[in-house]
Amino acid sequence: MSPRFRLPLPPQENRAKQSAYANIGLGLLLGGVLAAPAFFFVANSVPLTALALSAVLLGTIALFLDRSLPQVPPRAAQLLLESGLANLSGLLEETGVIAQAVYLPSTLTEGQPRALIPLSSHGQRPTVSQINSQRLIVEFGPHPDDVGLLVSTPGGGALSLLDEHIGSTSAELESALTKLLVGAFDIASTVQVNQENGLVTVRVGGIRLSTGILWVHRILGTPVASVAAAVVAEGRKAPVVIESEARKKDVVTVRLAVTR
Amino acid sequence: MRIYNRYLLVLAAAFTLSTTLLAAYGQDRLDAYFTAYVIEYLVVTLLFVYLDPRTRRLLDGLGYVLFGGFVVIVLFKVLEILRRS
Repeated sequence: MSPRFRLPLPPQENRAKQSAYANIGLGLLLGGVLAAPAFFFVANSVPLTALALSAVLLGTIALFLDRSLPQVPPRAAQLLLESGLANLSGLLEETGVIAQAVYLPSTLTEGQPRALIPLSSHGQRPTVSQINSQRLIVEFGPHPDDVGLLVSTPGGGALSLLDEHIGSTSAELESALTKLLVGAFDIASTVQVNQENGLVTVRVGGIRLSTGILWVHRILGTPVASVAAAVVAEGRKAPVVIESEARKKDVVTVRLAVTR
Repeated sequence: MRIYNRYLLVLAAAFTLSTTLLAAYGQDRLDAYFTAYVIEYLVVTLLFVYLDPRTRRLLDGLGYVLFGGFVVIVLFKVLEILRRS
């Protein structure tokens, strides 16, 4: 089989290759279990026995961390994300859509939070009321021009990883975004959220996700901006538009406008 | 997986520091070391509040086991004191 058509390895093999936690865990666990009796009975040293005990504990924790690693390896996940976005990008570029997407909360879409891409914008932000359809092409207003594409976004999908309800205060939005970007995805180190007059500024530090230049990023934003917009839309229970997105070294600043 | 690396490093540093300090103060009871490790584990795990929910569930399970060990040590101590009196 040529390398081009080689299928990804099954998750277990991939995980074994990628994760060093299992090796470290086993090493510490076995080393600690063997060293503890030797230190206690032969060397008669309590501090060294305690050190061996701490190695057993750290080894167990490392093995637990290995078990909780994601089933899809990060590279495979990035590949899937990029191919999905590239397809959507091609579709949007061909249809000539240039309007910014409006991120909608689940209360407006009857299900998963999604983004609405207006097919004609006239330079104005669309006013979106309830959307009762789950189709790709939907009507979102009373005018004949009020037609758009209702699409799933990386941010909308990410919300399913949050267990609890998202609040609307800056601290609650910051907590939800930190849980996703720092905890679940591990693609950033810090998140700061500020709200002022319907404008939400999200500053994400220590970014470790590189994104290429795609047409879809002009409309939906980069994956980080998409997550920020989806969380803010869900927290504020209102449509949100990405006003601007700037990257300086490893800090991304996303400005979001709450449209209601 | 940098958050996991940071978590492991912080725990390893805390365990090493407490072992060094207790050894420097001439502590020769294994249960004292174990108690210090359990407290450090619970505190550090609590501070890493943004760990993945699946990881947190597993670590919470280990926390219950360690806390059980801590309770057993306390019980033995209480029994020892009662026996003396």
